[in-house]
Amino acid sequence: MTDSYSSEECRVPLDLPTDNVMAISAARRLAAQAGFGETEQHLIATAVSELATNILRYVGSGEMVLRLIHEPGRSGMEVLALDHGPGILDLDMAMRDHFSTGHSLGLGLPGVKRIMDEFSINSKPGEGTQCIARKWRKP
Amino acid sequence: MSAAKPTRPHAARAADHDALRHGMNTFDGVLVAHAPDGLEDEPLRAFQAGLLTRVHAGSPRGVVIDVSRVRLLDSSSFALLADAGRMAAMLGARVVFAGFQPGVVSALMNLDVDTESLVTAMTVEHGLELLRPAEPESGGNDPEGEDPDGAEPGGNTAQSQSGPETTAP
Repeated sequence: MTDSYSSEECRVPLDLPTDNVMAISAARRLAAQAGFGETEQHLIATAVSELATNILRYVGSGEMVLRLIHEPGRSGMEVLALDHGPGILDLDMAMRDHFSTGHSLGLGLPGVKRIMDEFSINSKPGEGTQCIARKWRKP
Repeated sequence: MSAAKPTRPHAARAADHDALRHGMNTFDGVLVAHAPDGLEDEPLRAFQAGLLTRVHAGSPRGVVIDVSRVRLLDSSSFALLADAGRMAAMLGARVVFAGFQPGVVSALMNLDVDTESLVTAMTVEHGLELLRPAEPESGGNDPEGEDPDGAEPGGNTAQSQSGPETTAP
């Protein structure tokens, strides 16, 4: 039973810049497994890439946990992005479009929120950031 | 290792090398460059460098960046790709992105990246059409001083089949 459980969940440590790719391919695989269509698989992978890139770029290391989720009558996919970095000082600001902390295009969080159905973020200065996003499969 | 004696300038050889690696071809004075699929920085930066070298060495009239193989773009990989286009534009080439896939477009819209400045075309063929020089009519002389009636500006003889090819299935 452990096997069937683990095939529905994938933990991806984020330490090296190339770990982004691991997160993306895991996301695509799980999204396909969840029954998402190709366009939605790409959207989910894009959201995962945004979150992974944030961690790698602004914190340096963290972790991603991707898993299939089931509820009566529906199923989908959950993306959890964790880091123990400095945290995001102004979450409201970070959730605004075109917010940027420097040369890049911003954190991409509003985009992730738009792509996914549910999105929540928790950040404590000095402790880190935890981001959970879910997408449900349209029946 | 060194099989052939180098006889050409380094820049041209480097440009050829990059062209091979990134699949760049010149059609009728327009460079067609195929963007790599993937979100990794490295191939995209290599693509930028290859494009820059190639545009500088070959002075194409325009560049079509073929993005039809790109299945995934996030905001940072999009920025790298858009920068590649801006680099070529700074060198003086007109740049058209061709073949954005619907999934990519929908992701970019969700990410709210700025795509306003991009000139796009559905296909590489349409991109080449957009970059076709204006018909040399009377009075419409190019300030660059290129002879409109002259033959193809020298050198570029390798791939100048401009006619529509018979498409094999």
